[in-house]
Amino acid sequence: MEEDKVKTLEEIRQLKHLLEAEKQEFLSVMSHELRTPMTGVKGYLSMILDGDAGEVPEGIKDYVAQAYVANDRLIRLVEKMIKIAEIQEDKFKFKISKVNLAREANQVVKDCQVRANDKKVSLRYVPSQEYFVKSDPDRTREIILTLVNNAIKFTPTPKHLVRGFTHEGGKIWVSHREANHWIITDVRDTGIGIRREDQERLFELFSKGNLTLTGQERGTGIGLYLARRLAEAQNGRLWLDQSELGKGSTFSLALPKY
Amino acid sequence: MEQKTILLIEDDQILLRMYTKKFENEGFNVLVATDGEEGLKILEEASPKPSIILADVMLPRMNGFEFLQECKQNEATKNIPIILLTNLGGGEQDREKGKALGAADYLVKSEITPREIIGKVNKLIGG
Repeated sequence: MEEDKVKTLEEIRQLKHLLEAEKQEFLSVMSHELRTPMTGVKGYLSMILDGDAGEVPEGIKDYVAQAYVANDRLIRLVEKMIKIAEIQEDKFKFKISKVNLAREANQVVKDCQVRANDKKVSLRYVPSQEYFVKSDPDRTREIILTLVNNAIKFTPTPKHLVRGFTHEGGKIWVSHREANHWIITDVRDTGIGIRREDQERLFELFSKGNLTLTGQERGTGIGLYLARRLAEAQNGRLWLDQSELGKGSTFSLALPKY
Repeated sequence: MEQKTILLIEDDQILLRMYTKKFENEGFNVLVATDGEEGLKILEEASPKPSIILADVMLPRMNGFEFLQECKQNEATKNIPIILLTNLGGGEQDREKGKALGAADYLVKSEITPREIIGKVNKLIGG
């Protein structure tokens, strides 16, 4: 009787292992199986737009372009979901090294400049000394990119922008500061701000605190969740430092000093 | 002007048709295979040899990495540039592995349009 019980426990352990392996396999197969048809959609739509199937009337071109954008959004969503699953499974590989934080942050600001200009929002990197942190450079850029993109998204375009008339438009600053063993990157904006009751849920998966305020700027509720998981997985922290409705928000990323 | 020949190795029929069509539209002569072994066979028989090869990483029988290794070990094929294509989430490690084995480039299919692939190919073979 006792022996039977031991066997059962061993069987459970084996079953658990099997389930774990199945889950990994599922993840890998799903990611491949999802990406492949989406690649087909992306490719064929882009070929229509490139004129591979002959000339496309303007009206249809616009529809196809919209479908292309929607599919690209789907691709990015799947990429994020896969990444989340990998982090949850501890399968995501981080390459921790000595990272020049100022350089990475500055690069993100440069990359986002076009989007900020399109929205007539001023995006500035506040020059600083060189800070070195222990992190994964790609993932660090990804986190800062999420914060800057969100800041652009939730900082409205000034309503009346008249030439020769200086209008107080939206502003975003990216800066660094030092605190104990950390180097902190602040992304501050003069955007719409976040309601107090939404602040707590902000980093939860699929939370959409800002949806009620903007309507047109729909997020997936993945970005901040993923950014925080990425920060924590490389021994960092990510939090909402302060936010006031109608005045703006500051998000802060702390990474261990090198 | 001599027609450029490309060997495409891809096991997904939809993507294979798509890339074939794009390369044909761009004036390429296209050879196709659906796994690494078939790719090697076609490569062996081809005369003249293709100017460039596009190979998927995840293939039945012989995968893209193995195919790449075989090509690089063969005197007749070692100088043909090979671009690896993938839709796996392997990321940096697979990219580095591909480069270390001698791949000319390593592209993630869902991130790139056929036109962008043509651009990369033309750059590599000076088209």
